[in-house]
Amino acid sequence: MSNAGLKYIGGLALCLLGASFAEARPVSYPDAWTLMIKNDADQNSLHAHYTLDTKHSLGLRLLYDRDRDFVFTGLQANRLLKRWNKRDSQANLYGRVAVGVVNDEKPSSLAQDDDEALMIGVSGDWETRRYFVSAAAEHWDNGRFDEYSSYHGRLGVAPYVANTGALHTWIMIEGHHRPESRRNEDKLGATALLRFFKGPSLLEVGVDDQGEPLLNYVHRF
Amino acid sequence: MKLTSLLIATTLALSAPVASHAKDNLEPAVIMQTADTKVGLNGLVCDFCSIALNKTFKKNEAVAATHVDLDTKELSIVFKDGQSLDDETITKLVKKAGYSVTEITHKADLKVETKVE
Repeated sequence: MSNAGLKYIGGLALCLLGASFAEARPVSYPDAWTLMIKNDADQNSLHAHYTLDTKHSLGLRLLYDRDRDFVFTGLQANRLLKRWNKRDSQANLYGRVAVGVVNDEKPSSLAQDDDEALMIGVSGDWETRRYFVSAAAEHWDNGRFDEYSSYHGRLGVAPYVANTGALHTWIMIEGHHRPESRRNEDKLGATALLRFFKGPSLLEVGVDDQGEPLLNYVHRF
Repeated sequence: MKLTSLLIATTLALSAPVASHAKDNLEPAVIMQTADTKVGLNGLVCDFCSIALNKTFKKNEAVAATHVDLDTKELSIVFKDGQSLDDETITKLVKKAGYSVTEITHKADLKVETKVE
C-alpha cells in the first residue's frame, strides 16, 4: 500500500477516535447561553448559541478559514439526535447545519464576490469521568470559495477524577483529516492538548504536529 | 419597657425575611446533609452536568438550594419552607436538564422509589 493510502487510513482511524472541539456538546440545557471559541492552525471560530429546549440550540457562527482566506458569517442550528445516559458514562450524537455568507479576505484586487455557504455536520462523543472519545465530520459548500470536508477525532484521559466545582484536567490528543486542504502538511495531522475545566468554564491549550498553537475556550451562562 | 418592645419587634421584623431566604446560600456540604430529597442520576460525567441540573431546579419556585455531587451521582434538594416537589415533577426536571433518574429518596417519609429508564 502506498504512503498516501496508509496516511488516509490513519487519518480515518484518527477521525473515528475523537471530535472537533467547537462541535462538542453544542446543545446545553434549556435557556442556557454558550460561547465556544476555537483557534488553531486551520481556523478561528466563534459559536455563540442559545439552547431552546433539551434537544435544540441556535446561534451565531463566525469562522475565519486560514487556508482559503475567507470569513463565514451565519446562523447555526444544532440538534441532539440521541443521548445515552448510563450510571458511569454519557454518550451523545449531534447533527448541525449552518447557513450564511462568505466574504473574501484577500486584498480587494484579488477578492471574489461574496457568496452563500452551507455547512452540515455530525458528531458523537462518549465519556466517563476518566476517559473521553469523540468524532466529528463537517461538509462545507462555500460556493465559489470551494467545497470541502473535514474530520476530527479525539481521545482523552483524566489523570485524576475531580468532584463538583474542582479543577478538572484532561490530557487529550486530536487527529484531523482535511482531504481538500491546499496545504499538504495540513491534510492529516494531530494535536496534543490539555483541557482545564472548572465550573462553567473550559480552556484548552495545545500544539499540533507542525508546531502551531491551539487555544479553545467554552463558557456556559 | 416600650423601647425594649420596639427593639424586639424591629429585630423580629428584620430577621423574618432573612430566615425565609436563609436556605438560598447554603454551602454544598450543608445542602447534602440537610437535603429534603436526594435524586440518584444517570449520565453525570462533568461540571457542565451539575450546572445544568442546578440551574434547571433553581428555576422552580419550590426549590431553595441544590447541589450535585459527581462522586455519589446524587442531586440534593432543599425545599423552601412548606414546599416540595413530587416524584413526577422531579423526574421531568431531571429529564429537561438532559439526564435520567435512578432513584428518588425523600427525607420526610423515607420513601424510596426506583425509576427504570
